[in-house]
Amino acid sequence: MTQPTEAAPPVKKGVIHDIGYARYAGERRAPSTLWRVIMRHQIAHAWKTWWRWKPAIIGAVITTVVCGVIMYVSADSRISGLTRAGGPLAFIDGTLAYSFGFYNKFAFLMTMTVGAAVVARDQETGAFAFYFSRPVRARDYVIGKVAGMVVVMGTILLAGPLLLAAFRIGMAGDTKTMIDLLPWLGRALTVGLLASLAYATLPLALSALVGKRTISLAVWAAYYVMGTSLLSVVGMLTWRPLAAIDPANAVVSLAFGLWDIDMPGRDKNALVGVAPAAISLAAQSLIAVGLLYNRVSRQAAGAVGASS
Amino acid sequence: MTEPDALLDLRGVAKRYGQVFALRGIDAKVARATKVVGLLGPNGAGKSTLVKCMLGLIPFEGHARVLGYDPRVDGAAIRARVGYMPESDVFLSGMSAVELCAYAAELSGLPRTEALQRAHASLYYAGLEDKRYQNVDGYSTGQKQRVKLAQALVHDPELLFLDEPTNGLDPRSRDEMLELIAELPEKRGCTIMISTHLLTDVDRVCDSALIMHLGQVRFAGTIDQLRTSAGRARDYVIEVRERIGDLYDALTARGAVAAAFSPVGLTATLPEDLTAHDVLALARKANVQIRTLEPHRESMEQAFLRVVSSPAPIGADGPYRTTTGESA
Repeated sequence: MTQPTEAAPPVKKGVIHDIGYARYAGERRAPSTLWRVIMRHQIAHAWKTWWRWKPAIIGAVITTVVCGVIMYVSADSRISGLTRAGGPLAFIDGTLAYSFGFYNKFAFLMTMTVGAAVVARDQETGAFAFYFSRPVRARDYVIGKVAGMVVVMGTILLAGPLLLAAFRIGMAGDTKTMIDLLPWLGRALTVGLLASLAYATLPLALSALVGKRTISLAVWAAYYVMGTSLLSVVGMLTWRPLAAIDPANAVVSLAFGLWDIDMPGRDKNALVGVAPAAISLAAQSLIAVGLLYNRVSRQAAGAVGASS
Repeated sequence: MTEPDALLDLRGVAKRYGQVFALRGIDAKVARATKVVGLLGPNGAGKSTLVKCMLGLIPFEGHARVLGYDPRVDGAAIRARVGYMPESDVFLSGMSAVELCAYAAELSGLPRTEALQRAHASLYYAGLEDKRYQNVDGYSTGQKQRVKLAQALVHDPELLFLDEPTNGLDPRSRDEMLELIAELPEKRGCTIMISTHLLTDVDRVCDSALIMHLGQVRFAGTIDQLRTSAGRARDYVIEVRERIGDLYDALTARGAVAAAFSPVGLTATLPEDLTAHDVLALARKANVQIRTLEPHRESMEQAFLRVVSSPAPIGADGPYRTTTGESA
């Protein structure tokens, strides 16, 4: 027979407690460093759920592994014997540039799950009042969000290519070849950074301009999928550098240009030169940051105030 | 820097949006000893603009010191020391209460470890100790209000600005929220400024009020001063056990103007030569037992409406001094 247990004291709900209080007398972080807090939060937020960052990461990892395997297999003498003359070497050197086409797709996926919703969601949920009633200034917010998104995008567009470049250098048969291949790291870094910057800033700016999360996602998707394709076609028909406005095209063009690769299956007319591609990515990023700052700074003051 | 004697010192603060004057040269001073100030005013009175000016978010004309800092130069320093609980939700989706509060503390300049410790403490204080790891998106209205209070408190502010803190709360939650607010100055050593349209809340927790209308401060002083500032210091409310008519006759015979409001109650305006002690003596003489004798006090609603409909500002002594002008 079980003994009757003593009834537990009723749990008080909503009771006021105080576990002790001491006024904070320590150092306070300078406002100029608050962007780091925002950046860290942005990265943590993107990582938090399974569907935001992780699918794109998995896609980028798969791309990197597949490209690495292709490089490795292409370099094997038994495989190269099965290919046409000069084929294996050209293939191994073209894989990295070609991989940017795939990284672009996963970067776009990231913009849809994270980038294009960031600022619009903050506007919708009243987070601007949360930020700007504190020492956070508009520039801290913008730098923090952009830096956070560049880091997130960098895991897709920079980490994979850098790994592949390092892998290719590691596969060099002799020291001279290895030294000759060292510029690959710089090229991968250049393309990866410019691509990360563009894929981070463009959706953020659009998100700030639109202000509604769902509409922002729709507008960004429409622009990326249809708008830029249209620009590419117009560019092909009229003035080719116009096609560099398409970030995906600019990234691939830059990669193909820097590696001086001409891969089968790519429409030569669709590609733009290295300079137009690099300038386009940098200029679009700068304009996007400017728009983002303008929009955020205008809304910062309006976010705070008494009810009236 | 030296410790300023005033929490808030505004002199000729004016703000204009195009041709519209939002603030018309405000002079006001709130002493550090002040506990809870009600920032009152009808919609469009200029409360929001004043708060933005105080936080250094918008430029303005005139001179202002908040916590000893100039908002035009040290806005960030002021905002690091001011807590703000907005009326609307300020939640970052997908975050638990403790994550939100820790993030808030870090954004106010606290180091990471200290921020996390204070996030737990402030949520505990707000009565959310058992809910602090839950996602804020799923909180009830009352719990959300508590989180908003906790995130405003977490960085140990010297001045706490609460915007409609009891909005949307049921009576019990409202009672608890007001209890929390009333305790804060004592327990946290901060001054609270409440913006609300619920004058009963002001009556309950505020010791002072700043009433604004059309960009001017129309009253600044204690709640008692507000409710007795109608120039009716000689008005009394009297309640008796029975025989109200006898007291009525005795008072009117001495020159008082009396009016019965119930079978056992009357209001009386006493002449200059008649005091409350004289009323007691008259009642004893008329053999009437007095149960209540107190000065007439306006309700908060009456006082508020009188102040905002008054053509000129109503000044008061105490922790404030106020004058208004058209300096813009």
